[in-house]
Amino acid sequence: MFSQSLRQSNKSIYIGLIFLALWMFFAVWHVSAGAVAIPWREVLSNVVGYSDEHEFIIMGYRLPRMLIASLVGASLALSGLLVQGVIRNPLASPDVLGVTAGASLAVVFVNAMLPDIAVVWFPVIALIGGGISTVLLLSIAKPVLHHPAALALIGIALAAVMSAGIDYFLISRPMEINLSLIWMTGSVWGRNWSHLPILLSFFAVLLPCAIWLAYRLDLLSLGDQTAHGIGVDVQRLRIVTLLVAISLACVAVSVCGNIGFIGLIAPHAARFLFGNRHIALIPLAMLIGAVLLLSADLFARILMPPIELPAGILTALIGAPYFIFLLSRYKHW
Amino acid sequence: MLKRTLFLMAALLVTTLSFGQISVQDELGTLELDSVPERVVALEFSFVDALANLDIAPIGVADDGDKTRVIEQIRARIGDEWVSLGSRSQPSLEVIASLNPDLIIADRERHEAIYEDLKRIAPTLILKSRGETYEDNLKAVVKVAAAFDRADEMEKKVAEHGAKMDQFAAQIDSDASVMFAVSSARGVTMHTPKAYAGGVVNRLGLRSPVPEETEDAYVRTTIERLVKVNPDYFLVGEYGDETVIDTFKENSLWNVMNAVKNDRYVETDPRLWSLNRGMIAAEIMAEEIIALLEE
Amino acid sequence: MTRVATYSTPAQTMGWRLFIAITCGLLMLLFGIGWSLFVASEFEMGWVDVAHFILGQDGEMIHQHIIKETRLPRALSAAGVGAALALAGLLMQALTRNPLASPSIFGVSAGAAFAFAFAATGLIPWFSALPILATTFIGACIAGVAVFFLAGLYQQNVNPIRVVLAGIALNYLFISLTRAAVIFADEHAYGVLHWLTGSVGNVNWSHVNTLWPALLVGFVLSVYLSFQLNLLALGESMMKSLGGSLWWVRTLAAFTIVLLIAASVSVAGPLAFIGLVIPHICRAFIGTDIRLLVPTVAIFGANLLVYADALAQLYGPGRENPVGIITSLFGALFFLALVRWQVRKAYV
Repeated sequence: MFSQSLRQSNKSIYIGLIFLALWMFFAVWHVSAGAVAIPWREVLSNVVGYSDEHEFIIMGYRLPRMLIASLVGASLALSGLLVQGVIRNPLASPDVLGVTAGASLAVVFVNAMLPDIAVVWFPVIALIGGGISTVLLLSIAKPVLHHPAALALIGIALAAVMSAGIDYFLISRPMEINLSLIWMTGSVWGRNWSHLPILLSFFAVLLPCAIWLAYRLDLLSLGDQTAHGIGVDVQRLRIVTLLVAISLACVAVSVCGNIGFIGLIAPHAARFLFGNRHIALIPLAMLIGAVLLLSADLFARILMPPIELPAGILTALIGAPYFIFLLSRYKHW
Repeated sequence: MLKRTLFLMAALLVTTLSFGQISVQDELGTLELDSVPERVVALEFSFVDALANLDIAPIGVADDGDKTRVIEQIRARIGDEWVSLGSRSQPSLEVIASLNPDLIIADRERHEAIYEDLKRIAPTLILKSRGETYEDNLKAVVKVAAAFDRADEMEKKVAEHGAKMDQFAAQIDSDASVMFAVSSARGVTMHTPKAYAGGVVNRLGLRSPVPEETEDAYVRTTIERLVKVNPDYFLVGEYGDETVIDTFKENSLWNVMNAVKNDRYVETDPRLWSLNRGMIAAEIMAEEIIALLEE
Repeated sequence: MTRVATYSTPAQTMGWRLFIAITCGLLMLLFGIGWSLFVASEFEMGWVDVAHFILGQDGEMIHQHIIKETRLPRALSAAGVGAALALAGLLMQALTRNPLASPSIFGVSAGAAFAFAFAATGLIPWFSALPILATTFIGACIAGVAVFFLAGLYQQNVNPIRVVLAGIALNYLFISLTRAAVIFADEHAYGVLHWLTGSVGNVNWSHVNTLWPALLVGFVLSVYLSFQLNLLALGESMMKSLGGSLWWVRTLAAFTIVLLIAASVSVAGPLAFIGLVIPHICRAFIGTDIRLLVPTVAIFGANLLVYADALAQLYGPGRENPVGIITSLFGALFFLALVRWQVRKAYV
């Protein structure tokens, strides 16, 4: 018994290390590839401050973008993990449930009404939008909360309403094209150091919360009755977890727009590799989310330089087929 | 005592140094330069026109990946040795940085979102370009020149340009209305007096058929509104081979328009009339209009 | 025979309802088309001009030209696209026996739109050289086949919600591909919204000439299919025992659906939710007999889009509003309400 769990945790560490290496691989590639090719040696000497030949391209442009893509991917993945953990629904994620679309709609609405609003307010506005759409979702789907597919369908319908609203605002009050693309599909273009402090500060608060919740979510996965028996306040746990998850997703949205499917795929892949212990799932899901968005942004930049695709398009190209695959595997209709 | 003397000397030194400084007030702040820039990057075509007036060749231009988007007359003055920076809406920051510029001239509307990034690469002058009026442009070119400490020279050029335009206007004895529109595969867009081409038309003493109170510079139109606007002279710049104006031509309403009835519909160069806003372009446009009116 | 058993209301009342619905629908449609011939014009036009036009009199020359050359083709395109999408939606719902099936939700419209956008990139020259209807037809076919297999429609007793979720994912996939193609083709990416929000703003008679023949073929096929689909509504085994060929019905219906969607997308782009909304509204009045639904749905689909386009021009946020921003906003709300209702019916 003991040796088995030891082997289990050994395996976890190996998988974790593999994904860490994968993330580092993409991170280095992301920073060295682009419209201007820079050998990775020079990249390294720039990063450690040994040389400053390409100071802006690396330190001022690609590095912050790499960090933002990783952080946003990680927060979306973590958000998805928490949502799936609390609703125990394999099809749930902040984007499937319409939370990210609601956050985007709120930002687009405020941006259209007050074009000069400072970027600092975006996370707050996104949080309000995401919160409203969550309340809407829960009230509409109240009777079917325990039917995963039904909940997902209602969430998607809600997301459709929100995206129709986004399109309406983008057409009626045309914005600068880069902004429009971010709000339609999600993109990391033009994101820089100034976006990092917001992202990091939310992350610094929310990540410990998620870790604190991890053990309780494990208990919850034993079933409401059992969890209640052990002394977990199920109702409160649900609300707190949802709050943390929504905040993570909304902050990610406020920086990079409505990037789809990462919150769905990353936690799944993590569970598939790791089983159900949340404390181990949290770092792994975050790593997978970071790798997904980082690679999407990388390919979005290098497919046809100097023209860029929004990263959200690439995540959709991976995510939509994966979602269909999930549906075909899911048995409890 | 020694300290104070040193401090005083340092202060003196700083003030003398700052005399040599160039300082330009732009749309988002003040540009400070220690010396006259030599490696210049332009992120809009209107700035290329301004630079050509000063005979300065930019080392990089956001030319949408196509050098011929800059009109021949300007390329004749500054050559075409620049590096393409990609599209104007998403210029490649990496390529800009790799050129090591010492001045970037950017457009307020398109590039405000990346202004901070641009400033990290090099001192950035951010001015009006997209959606600018004819008058806006004349103010902007002086600011461009000011960055090279040649504002006085440019003001003289602007005055010369004004005299030239007055001469052109004097040649015109007509109260005909003239309108320019752009046609692409997605639709036809009229340029009102708030747009650059409309401003040039007004400057020459000609009417625009679009009412003055129109606030937008560019107005999408159907054939129906086009017939209502009904310009006497109608110039269209086409982006692409098959554009929406071709479907308008198949419509019998097309022949109702004054311009078409009197054979005053002209297909012209959208690069000159829409992309390359500036004094050089305006003078060529004026010559085209006069040739058109004399026909 | 057995068919009668499925009708909830006696046949006689049904006939009356159908009569009233079709008469009202046609009158409304005529009024709507007449209205849209002059509404929101820069010129001072009115019913007088419409009357002149109908009676063939010489009215104000420019007004007559406007009606004949821009307003009438626009109204006819709107009507045709609405009818085609509504019919396609009805057929899809009958064929899959899934109340949420519709061209936009199953990604078939998006597939057609993607083919359209892909042709614009010019990556494959011969594909770009095809006529638009052929291009969108191929796109709709590919999307249709993908839905059939990926959503599991080939299985017996597949869960309807699973089919809808898979369809939506495919729709999303095709929309993303379309965005990529537009950015690639357009280099400025400004067109993305205008490509993905349907509009009848720049149509002319050549669009009417592509759309209406396809619509007529689709309508005739739908009438023919309606008898078979009524049998199918009783169940596949029942249909077989009554001598219907399941394979034949499916193939023909799929062809009709793809044709109707391809025609409407090639004229107006991917207009969302019309194919979902109209059949449901009509069913509420007419019942479930598909033979009666086919004409009703076509007429009310036409009505919806004609009025939506006129209202978008009158009350929209700017000038020349694409009708798609109105229909997708209200359509999405309807979709949400419908999902809520269906889900509650299934699970509560």
